[in-house]
Amino acid sequence: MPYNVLIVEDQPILAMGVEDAVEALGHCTIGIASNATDALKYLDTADIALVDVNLDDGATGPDIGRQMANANVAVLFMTSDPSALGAGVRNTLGVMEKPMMDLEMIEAIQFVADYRSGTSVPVAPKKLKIFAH
Amino acid sequence: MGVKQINWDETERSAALHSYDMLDTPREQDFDDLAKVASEFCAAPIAVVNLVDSTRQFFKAEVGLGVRETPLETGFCQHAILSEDILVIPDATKDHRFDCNPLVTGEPGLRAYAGALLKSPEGLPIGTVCVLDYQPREFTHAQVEMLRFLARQAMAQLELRRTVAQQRQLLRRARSAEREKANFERVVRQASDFIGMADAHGHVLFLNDAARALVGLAADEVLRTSIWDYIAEEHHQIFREDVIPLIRAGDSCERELRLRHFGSGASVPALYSIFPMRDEIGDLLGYGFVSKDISERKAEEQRRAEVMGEAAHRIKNTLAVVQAIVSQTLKTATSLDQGRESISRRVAALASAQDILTAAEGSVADIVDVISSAMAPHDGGTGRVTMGGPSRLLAASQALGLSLALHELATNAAKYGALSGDAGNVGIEWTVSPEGAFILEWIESGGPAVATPSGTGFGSKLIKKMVAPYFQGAATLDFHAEGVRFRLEGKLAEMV
Repeated sequence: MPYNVLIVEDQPILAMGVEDAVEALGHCTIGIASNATDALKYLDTADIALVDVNLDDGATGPDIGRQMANANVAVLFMTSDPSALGAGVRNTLGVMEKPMMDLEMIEAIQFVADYRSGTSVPVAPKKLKIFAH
Repeated sequence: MGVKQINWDETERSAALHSYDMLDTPREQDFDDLAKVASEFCAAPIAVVNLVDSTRQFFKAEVGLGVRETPLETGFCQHAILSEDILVIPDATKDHRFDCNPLVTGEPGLRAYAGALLKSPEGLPIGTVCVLDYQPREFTHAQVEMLRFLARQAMAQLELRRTVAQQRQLLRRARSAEREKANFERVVRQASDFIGMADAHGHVLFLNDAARALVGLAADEVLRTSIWDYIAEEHHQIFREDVIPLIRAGDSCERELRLRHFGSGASVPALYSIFPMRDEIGDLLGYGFVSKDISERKAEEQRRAEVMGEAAHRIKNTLAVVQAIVSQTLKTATSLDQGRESISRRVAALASAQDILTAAEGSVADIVDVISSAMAPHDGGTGRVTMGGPSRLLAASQALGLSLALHELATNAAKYGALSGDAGNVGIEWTVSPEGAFILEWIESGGPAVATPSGTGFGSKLIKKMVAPYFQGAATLDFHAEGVRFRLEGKLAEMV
């Protein structure tokens, strides 16, 4: 089933790449947010959030991810600085390190969607680091 | 009559004399008294305590002479020192050794002499106690014995002085050694490095001030510690497996170890050296250890690692952007060649924005520089591109987004718009309000008539959709018949 996807990314060029991948998989991009305030507006409507760590308002990504996960949104981080997440953020799925290939991005989004649906066993691309919790 | 051979030479004798350090010293009551007793007891007008030097005789004490030294040639005592222990001459005019002596034949007309030897403990003659008279005379047994006694007393005085002098010298040496030791201790104590000493069992015997400061120990706490107590817990294993075997084998060892602070329990990074200390015959006395606090160096390394990490993160971000450009361009390219050219131009535009950011050391760049640099490859020095607006700082991502958008606009203008022929112009103007409201307009004029293009490529997407979010605003692209118009409205960060 199609999901509502929020892209939290302060580089519009990168956001556009993600948006393409989301839409190619048949999902709907409900928003692109470059800071915490904008991102949290989608707390109730997003099914999936793809979240960068460093945003316009600083390294607010981890906190956005935590709040989204607590609101039952499936959260995957996408960042060039995965070490900023330490061992992981509670209840979020994992992290993809940027840059990544288009195919890896598609696989990663597919993984989150499969996880969200709960109907099939999700398969993560090798580059995706799954948080242990 | 046989020949008597003396068993000392002048070098030895002179050395013995000089060892008393008495020559040319002032008069002293102790010796004056001896001369006075000699004169009175012998009823002689002249009495001398005489030290016979190699070229002169020095009178440590004298009665009836009035001088402190005379040359040797005319003296009686150089003869006396060749005798066993006493020389008595009742009448010099009748003694072949003295009958031609000027002091006898002329003034002052000396006649009688009696002298007892001053002998060092080794038996070396260094002088005499003697009396002289202007008249020929005999000396009684008691008088001769008295001279002997006085000679022994003079020697006792000389010995006493020599002993005192030697002890003074020893004391001086001891004091100087003490001072030297104190200075060494001061050096060790006040050195800025950590210096300590332990016995052969590893019990700490000494720590200098810097060491105690580094590990937070008071002076009276040092003696209860072992060398192990100074090593941070996490490095006990290295110490046990790496350091201890080396020093047991008699080698010294230097490692980067963390030391434990006794007060806070925190660990301090240090360059730690430990070495066996041995005495002259090679027996193990204990261990010396010297450490240097390398917190600052470690902090610097940490800082450098962070800077490198930050740089790596930025590079990856840039690579992600490049990758997005490549993949987006290829998706909409009409041919591989066209795609390849578009990619290389876009990456070049990105690189020029990056150059400005690098020159500005990272996070901000002036909008004037960003626009000039983005347009430089397209203007070709013809003056067909004009620009005007205030100088303001852009965030790194804004500089990057604007550069890419201007690049796309200029590329389109060169292909289809005002820069495609020989006549058209492009004007770029921007304003910034005090509140940070930002308007930038791109106005083409004088070029060929413009038709609305299909606009599905990455370039037009960039212009229409992507640049505006960088400025939290909106962008419009209009194809007026007289030329393309682009308008970007957004905001800049408040000036700090």
